[in-house]
Amino acid sequence: MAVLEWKKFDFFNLKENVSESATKLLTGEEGGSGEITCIASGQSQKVLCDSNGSVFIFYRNWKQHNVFQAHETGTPIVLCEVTQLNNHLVTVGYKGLTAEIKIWNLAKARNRQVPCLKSFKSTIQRQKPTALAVVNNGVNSQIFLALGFERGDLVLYKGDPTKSSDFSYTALAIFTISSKKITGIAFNLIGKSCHLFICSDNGILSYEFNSQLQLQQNSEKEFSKIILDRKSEPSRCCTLQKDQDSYFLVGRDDAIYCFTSDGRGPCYALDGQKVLIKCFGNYLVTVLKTNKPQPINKDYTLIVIDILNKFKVFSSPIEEITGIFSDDSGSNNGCFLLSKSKIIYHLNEKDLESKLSLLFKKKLFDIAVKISKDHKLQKEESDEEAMAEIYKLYGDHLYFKGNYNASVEKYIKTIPFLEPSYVIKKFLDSRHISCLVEYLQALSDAGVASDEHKKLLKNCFKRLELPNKIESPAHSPIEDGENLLLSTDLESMREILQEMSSIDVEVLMKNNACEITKKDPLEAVRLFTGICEDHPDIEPDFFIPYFSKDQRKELIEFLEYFINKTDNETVYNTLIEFYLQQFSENKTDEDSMLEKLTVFEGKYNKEFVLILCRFYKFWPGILYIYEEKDLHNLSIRYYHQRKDYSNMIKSCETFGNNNPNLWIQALNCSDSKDSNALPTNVLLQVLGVISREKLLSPLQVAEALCVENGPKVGQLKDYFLQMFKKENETLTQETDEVRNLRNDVISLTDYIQNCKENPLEFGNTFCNACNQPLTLPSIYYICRHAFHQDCVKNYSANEKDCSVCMKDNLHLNELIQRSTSHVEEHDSFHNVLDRSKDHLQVLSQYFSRGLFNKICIVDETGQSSPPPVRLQTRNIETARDVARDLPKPTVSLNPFGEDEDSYDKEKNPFENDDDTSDHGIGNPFEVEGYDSNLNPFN
Amino acid sequence: MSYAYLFKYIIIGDTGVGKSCLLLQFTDKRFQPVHDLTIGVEFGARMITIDGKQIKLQIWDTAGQEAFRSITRSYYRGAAGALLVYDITRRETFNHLTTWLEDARQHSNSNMVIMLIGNKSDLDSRREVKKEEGEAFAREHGLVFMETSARTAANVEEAFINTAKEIYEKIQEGVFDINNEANGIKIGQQLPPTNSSISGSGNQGGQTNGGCC
Repeated sequence: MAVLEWKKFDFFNLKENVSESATKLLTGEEGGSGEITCIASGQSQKVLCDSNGSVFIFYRNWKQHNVFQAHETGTPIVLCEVTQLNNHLVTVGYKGLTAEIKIWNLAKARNRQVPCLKSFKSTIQRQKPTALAVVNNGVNSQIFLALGFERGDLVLYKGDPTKSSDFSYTALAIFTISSKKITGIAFNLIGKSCHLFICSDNGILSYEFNSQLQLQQNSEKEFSKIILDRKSEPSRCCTLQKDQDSYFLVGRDDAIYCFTSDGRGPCYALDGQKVLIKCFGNYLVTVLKTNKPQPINKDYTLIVIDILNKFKVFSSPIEEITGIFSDDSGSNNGCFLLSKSKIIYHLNEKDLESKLSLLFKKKLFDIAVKISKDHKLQKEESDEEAMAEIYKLYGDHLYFKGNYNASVEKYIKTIPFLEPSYVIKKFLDSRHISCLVEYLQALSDAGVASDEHKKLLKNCFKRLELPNKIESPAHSPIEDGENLLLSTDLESMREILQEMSSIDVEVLMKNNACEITKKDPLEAVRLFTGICEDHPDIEPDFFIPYFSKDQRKELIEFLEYFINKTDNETVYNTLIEFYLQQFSENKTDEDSMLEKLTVFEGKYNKEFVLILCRFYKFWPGILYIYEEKDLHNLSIRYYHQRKDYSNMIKSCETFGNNNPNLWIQALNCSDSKDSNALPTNVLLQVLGVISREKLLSPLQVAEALCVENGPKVGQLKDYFLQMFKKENETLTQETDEVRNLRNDVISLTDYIQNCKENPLEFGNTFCNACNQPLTLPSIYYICRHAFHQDCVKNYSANEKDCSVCMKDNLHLNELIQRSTSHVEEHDSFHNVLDRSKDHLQVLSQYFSRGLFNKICIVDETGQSSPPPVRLQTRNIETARDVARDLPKPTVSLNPFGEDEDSYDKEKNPFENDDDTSDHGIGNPFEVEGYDSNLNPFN
Repeated sequence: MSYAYLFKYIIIGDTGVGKSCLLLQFTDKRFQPVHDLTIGVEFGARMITIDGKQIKLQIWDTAGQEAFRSITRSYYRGAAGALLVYDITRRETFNHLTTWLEDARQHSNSNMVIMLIGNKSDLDSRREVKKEEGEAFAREHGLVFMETSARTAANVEEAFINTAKEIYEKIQEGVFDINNEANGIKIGQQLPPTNSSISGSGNQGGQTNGGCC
């Protein structure tokens, strides 16, 4: 049945061994010898019976317990059941001849003592009892008790165990149901009629009888028999689901069939041999025996099905399970399972949030909605907002998939929690106008539509040429205002406007502000400030365009009124523009002008003001903004042009830490055409910093300074001599290191060769772990470490590795791994390269990791496996990019002709590269398929 | 809720023809565009009134998948009516009708009323099976025929009720043995005679009782 499967989710957690103390008790002295044969769960306790006749009762989440001997030692208790109403425990012991039935009062249980209410023997002999069901009569403490046997007989008892005389020791009725064993019995009491479900391998049937039935031997007439199923198929387990429709569930190999008292109900197809089934809440827990190979000891599969929604909500391999305790008090606590090895499992439902997030991940929003609705029904709490959130995600998902009509349906369900603009924004495209209309209509139907929404809806209707269903928002106040404006004077105007809504005022002013300013600018300023105060959502910049050119003074007055009262950028921008205008006309004090800029700090748009300052050539202002905007290179260029070297060095020093390029900028200024070479002292200062911070290589410096009107060589001689000396030192250092490493490689190769070809002698006398003389049994490692076998077990987790060398080996392994595992290293390489100061070092580092060549890794089996070719064109480009930044070591271009004699060819790292025919070992970019024409070094 | 009769129905047909949707439309009066595949057998019930009598319909909605055939077969017995559904937009579901019909006739009681239903009549533009073809098939095999749409609910109610009417007529004619529950018909809870004498003149339960005996 693999074609069709249940929807699978993981809504449960299975915790193993939740009560160690209970397991300890069951496997310990008292329970150790027996096997748990049957279990039952009562109101607050869980009952376990074993093959020795003992009963274990656990209370309160396995924390407390009680043990007592119910049947003779050695008599297995084959069946047990607890009556739900008065908490009586029924046990059935069977040892070969007759079954002994005992009824216990759990309500009066003391330590190791439980009062036995009744004890009697079954009338049917030499048959093993296989099924038991008990039910309270409902009216009084009478109980019905049905016992099924292995050859198909069933005995029904009735009686009141609390009254010594009343309980019938003989059977109320005896039926022979089938020739095969009865696998399950269940009572279902509805009012006065009682249904008795019987499940056997020969079929399933139910008896209906009046629960007030009096004792009459074998009066089968009183029982109306309904055959529910005649199929002779193994039915291994059954259970009664009481919550909804009282289905009797029978687990067969192909499916779980439900039966009502008079016929078939639904069925759940689930392939597999069912061992146990049990219901709790909406869930059906079943244990299947699996034939497929499973992890050790887990030959069974635990499956939980959500009957209501038809999901498989949990599935996991599990060991053999003896019984399932279903908690009748509610599904919230989940249920407990007892394995054959006496370990207790707890199956617990996940909380709603984690379920939902699981579903969101899978984009199963419809199910999320369903589940949270169910959850809400159960909890009787309504969290509309959370639902709206789910609908929003659902809508987003549908929208993303292009199913706009469906998504708008979901969005409508988010009203009134979701901000309408979120949805409107999505459907503004004219293609989705019908969706938009639908949403807006729903908004206005819900009574949460604002005037804007209504306006939009109206426009949509107009567009679709539909009759307008929405009354338009009132326009009358504006018209009124317009009339007033013409008639009344400006002073009383403010009072009238105060009454109007901001939007109306805005519209009104848009039409009339020009008129007002023309009429009386001063009055207009007063009116406008008044409007701005009365209507905080009308910004002062709204009025700026209505002042004409020659009303600048009034406008400044108007704007100055709002200094520190508003955050509107335009107000400050405009104000500064006017100040600068005044400044350029009157050439007023630069300092006072600058002060104004600093006062308005952070309130104006800096880019805009920068343009203004440039326009009005207000240099202090420009510099001020450069500094504010971190445009130090521009200020350095300015200083340089002004030959203000002290300021230039100062700003280089102040900001150079964060932006070292400033120094390079300072150096480069000297190549500007207007022969503005830096004075020697400044130049040396700059170069000093550059060499200290390794901002540029000497060749780059040389290239930068090698320009027309550049500084004289004499000025730079000291710098270059110093640099050469330093480089020389590093060169010798590194040559030494290379030599050392080469030697190491040679010695290691020798060692490996030695290990491979020559016999190794193990002469260890001491254990490397405990430093005691070695005794047998001992383990020798090829690294010449030796241990006692016991020491190895104690000190290392893995006998394969020498615990002394393991740390180093792990480190080495990690290095190898790192060099090979990152297929995506190109990106990180680029990142590192961009950030680093010393490109060559990064290059060589990555070269050593094998980023540029094919490498072979010899794994443990000795087979070499070539990793995928990781070199892509991008790498070659990278190498070229880097190389472009590097100096070009051509002799003819050597600017230091005077030093030619002392030039040591052997020390030139690029010496080999001059020879085009030679791609020796030294070429880090040597790869297969390499195009020598692309090599910038040639 | 008391009823005069209980009729048991079974809905059969290829997978995806809309069996579950028909049931959902009939019992819950709603349509679900995306319905999960039925795994096993689902169960629904609704009360209808025929001839002034309350009749409870209990409906088994079966899985159409071939793999579940053995499970669903056990449900034929014990059904008084069957809705055999095909999809008018998929020719092959119509072609399979003969197999379904054979299966149903073989496993059910001979008196079972079978109604042929061509579902998805709202998708007329994609129609592959003409209405006349369905009518011809029904005539040939002695079935009642109807085209329905679970989406628009067109004819859904009628399909279930017409089947019930047919069964009811057969009962009146005495074709069905109503005391054999394996036929898929059950007489409603009969009120004890003492009770009916107290409540006075003939209530429905009493009437039914009289009519049947």
